[in-house]
Amino acid sequence: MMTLSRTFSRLAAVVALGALAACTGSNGVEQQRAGLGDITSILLNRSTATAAPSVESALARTELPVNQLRLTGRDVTAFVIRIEQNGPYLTYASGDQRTVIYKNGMIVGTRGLGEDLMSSTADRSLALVRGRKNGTVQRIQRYLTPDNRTVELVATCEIAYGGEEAYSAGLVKTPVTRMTESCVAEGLAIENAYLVDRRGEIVFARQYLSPGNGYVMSYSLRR
Amino acid sequence: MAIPAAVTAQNLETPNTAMYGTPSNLIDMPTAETAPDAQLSTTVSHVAGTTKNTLSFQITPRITGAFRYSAIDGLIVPGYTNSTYYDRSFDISYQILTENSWRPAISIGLRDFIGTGLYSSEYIVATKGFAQDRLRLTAGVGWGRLGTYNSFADVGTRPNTLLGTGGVPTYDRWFRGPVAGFGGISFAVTDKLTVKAEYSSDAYVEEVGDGILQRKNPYNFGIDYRHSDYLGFGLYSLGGSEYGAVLRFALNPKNTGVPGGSETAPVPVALRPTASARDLGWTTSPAERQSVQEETAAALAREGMELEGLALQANAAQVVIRNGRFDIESQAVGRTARVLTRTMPPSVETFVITQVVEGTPVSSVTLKRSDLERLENAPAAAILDRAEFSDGRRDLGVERLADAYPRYSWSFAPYAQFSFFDPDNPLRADLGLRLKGSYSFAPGWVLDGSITNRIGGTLSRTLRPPRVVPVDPPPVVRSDTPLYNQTREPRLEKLTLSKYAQLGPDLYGRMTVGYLEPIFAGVSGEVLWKQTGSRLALGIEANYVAKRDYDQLFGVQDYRVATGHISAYYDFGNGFHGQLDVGRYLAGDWGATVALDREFANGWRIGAYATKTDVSAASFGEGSFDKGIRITLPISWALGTPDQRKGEIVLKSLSRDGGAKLNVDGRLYDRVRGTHRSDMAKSWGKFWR
Repeated sequence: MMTLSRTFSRLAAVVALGALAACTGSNGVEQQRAGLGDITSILLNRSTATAAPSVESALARTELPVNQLRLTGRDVTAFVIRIEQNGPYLTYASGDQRTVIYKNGMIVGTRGLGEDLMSSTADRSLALVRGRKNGTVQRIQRYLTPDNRTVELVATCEIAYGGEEAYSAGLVKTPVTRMTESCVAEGLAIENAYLVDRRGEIVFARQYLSPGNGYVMSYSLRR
Repeated sequence: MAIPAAVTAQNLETPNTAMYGTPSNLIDMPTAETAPDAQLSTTVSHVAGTTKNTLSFQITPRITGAFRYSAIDGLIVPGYTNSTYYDRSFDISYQILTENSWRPAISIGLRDFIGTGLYSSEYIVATKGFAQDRLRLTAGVGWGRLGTYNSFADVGTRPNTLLGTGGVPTYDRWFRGPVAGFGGISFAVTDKLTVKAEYSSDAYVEEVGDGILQRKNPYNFGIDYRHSDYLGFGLYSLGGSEYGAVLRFALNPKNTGVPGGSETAPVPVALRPTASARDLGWTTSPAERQSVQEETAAALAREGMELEGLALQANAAQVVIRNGRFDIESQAVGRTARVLTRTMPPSVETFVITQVVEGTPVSSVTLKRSDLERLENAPAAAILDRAEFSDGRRDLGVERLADAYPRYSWSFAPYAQFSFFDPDNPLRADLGLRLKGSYSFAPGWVLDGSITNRIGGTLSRTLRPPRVVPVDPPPVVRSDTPLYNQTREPRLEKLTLSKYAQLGPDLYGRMTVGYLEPIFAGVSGEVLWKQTGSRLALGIEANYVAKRDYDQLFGVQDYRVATGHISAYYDFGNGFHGQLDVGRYLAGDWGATVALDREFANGWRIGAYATKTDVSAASFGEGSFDKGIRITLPISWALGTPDQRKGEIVLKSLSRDGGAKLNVDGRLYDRVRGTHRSDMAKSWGKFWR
């Protein structure tokens, strides 16, 4: 359904633009605009994705902290590297300029994924997860609509202890506690989960993002 | 629906449309159903030689409007010689009462309420849902065409003479003449499949009389399949003897498209090292200042924007940016602000971000750097509360970058020019080539030119003699447009020199001279008053123009006219925007234009306008006065990435000479408003995107 509507809207764009085969020039900043080739590949559903590198090669490429991401809704795997810190917020970026924002290992924002999580109010949830305590809290996730309004997904979540485990991925090996976060929001059931180390840092998170992106799974490979 | 949104009451909504292309789960008969708010649908229906193309828009949750272009093969119309009769019609309906547990929804509607009245009818109809809304029952009474079969009463007599020269609301006919009852039932077998049956009060008098179709009984049956909210089709049996089909496309500016866009991420805010904010060593180092400027320009360029000017003080910085990428200005400002956190020396606490129109500052947003650092991950409303908006005069001593001027751009591309749904032909089009250039030698100054060369097409076809010959017509200013599309030699579409400036507090100006548009050349001046947070704006435009030669080269004809308007623009704040222009039009006629648009914060705009001047209906000719429907489709919405281009479609009455306006480029209101608080606040969520 989504694909069909996207195809329609793109067709509408082709019609509206009339012609995309233009020669242009200027002495200013060149705009990267969709051309005829882009449109046809979109219409024909040609994928532009390339094969993801291995964990080893991703770690070898940088000295910085690295996480591995998987989006269940898009069947996409990517490595993200830490590029910025603003207080407790850490921004990780992929090679193709998509970013994910973490607070103590919990994902609180995304940029460039489409249906981005614009911001979250989840401090109480984060406190329970990091403290490995049970409780019921409210979680708010904010999104933009196609007409650029901000909407909130308000969820009531139950945080529960889920047992002790060992975590091992990339260069990170540590005993962890599993914490689950079961939420209900406007008839939608959300099942988030986190693995928390002894210091209260989340090394693995499985969190609901949006209908198109589904759940994101984030594995810490190097801290 | 991709993202959770506020759930609205399901007031007998249906994305389905039927033979008339308006929201209905029946076939020919209307119901009290509405489409989801803001749905825009196109429906093509066909039965026995009659094809209807209907564009329907859910204007508000209760008001539905539709424009229909029908082709009827074999209809005999006096004074009309083509074998196919083309007809245009407009519908409107209003849901007076919404449905609740004990009462049905009730709607009142007018079909074909402007114009020649082939489908002219009025109705009051009730619809109620049962069995979890899968079963819907409809009953109503109709006049006009809907009162032609088995009427049970008469309300006076229904006149059939034309008001004016057509094209005016046929209010003398509404709810007059024979009244008949109609009804129907629809059942949603699954979410996608609906079956329906109706008792029709439309006798198809003219179609049966002209042998276009047969009607044995008043019963219609049908089945409708909805592939998605955006595509559906139906098959119907009508009157026991004919079969009809419907194909429907729909979109919704509110919820189709990529939520938030799929463009790449912005750079994150960079935090200043603690205690570095008091370090002012850099202020005395020209080399350091130079490198700040270079880094800022380079970082903005990576975001698709240009740094035109910079003012750098110990604690404040102002950047003048030229945004050629983002159609949503709050996003341009948000991205610029984050770039500045990364490039400005730590002592700079205040950022003034100034946006330009053709190099003229028109708006500034002032932000505190510590707010950006603190609120990067907060809801976007938080930084809006801290942002300060001002007009373009805020100046901390900006110096233009040495390479900011002159600037130029050009393009060479094929073009297609369309004319939709005129009374004789569903589509006319021209194909050609266009060479366009723009040269700006100083802030506010622009030289624009455009040359076209027609390859071929049908826009040059002279129209048939009008069905209504105007009496004492006004001077010919637009009705000879086909004569401008005859030549296949290069034409000078446009060659203008413009100057933009801020004239005073909240006051903007434009002056344009040259070949302003394909048909007129001259001088055009405009002044706009617009406060950054105000819903109201006022403008004055004055032009003195001469009509150009048909070859569209440098010569002009001996028709000269002073034309201009006083304009008021008002943003109603609920998604509706109005404009009123009062003044003198191209034929020297005096009058006013009223326009009402529904606007969406992603750039979609759907609206209508009407112009009435002192040219009488008899002098105006067919249609009585000028009116039309206009739709703006932002390319960014279709592509899912920022893009400032947009597609515009205007469906209007015939190009006549009364109430015609000059088409000069660069009108101020639309160029200025996007950078003002009033507009930016609507899409402010894009600031952090």
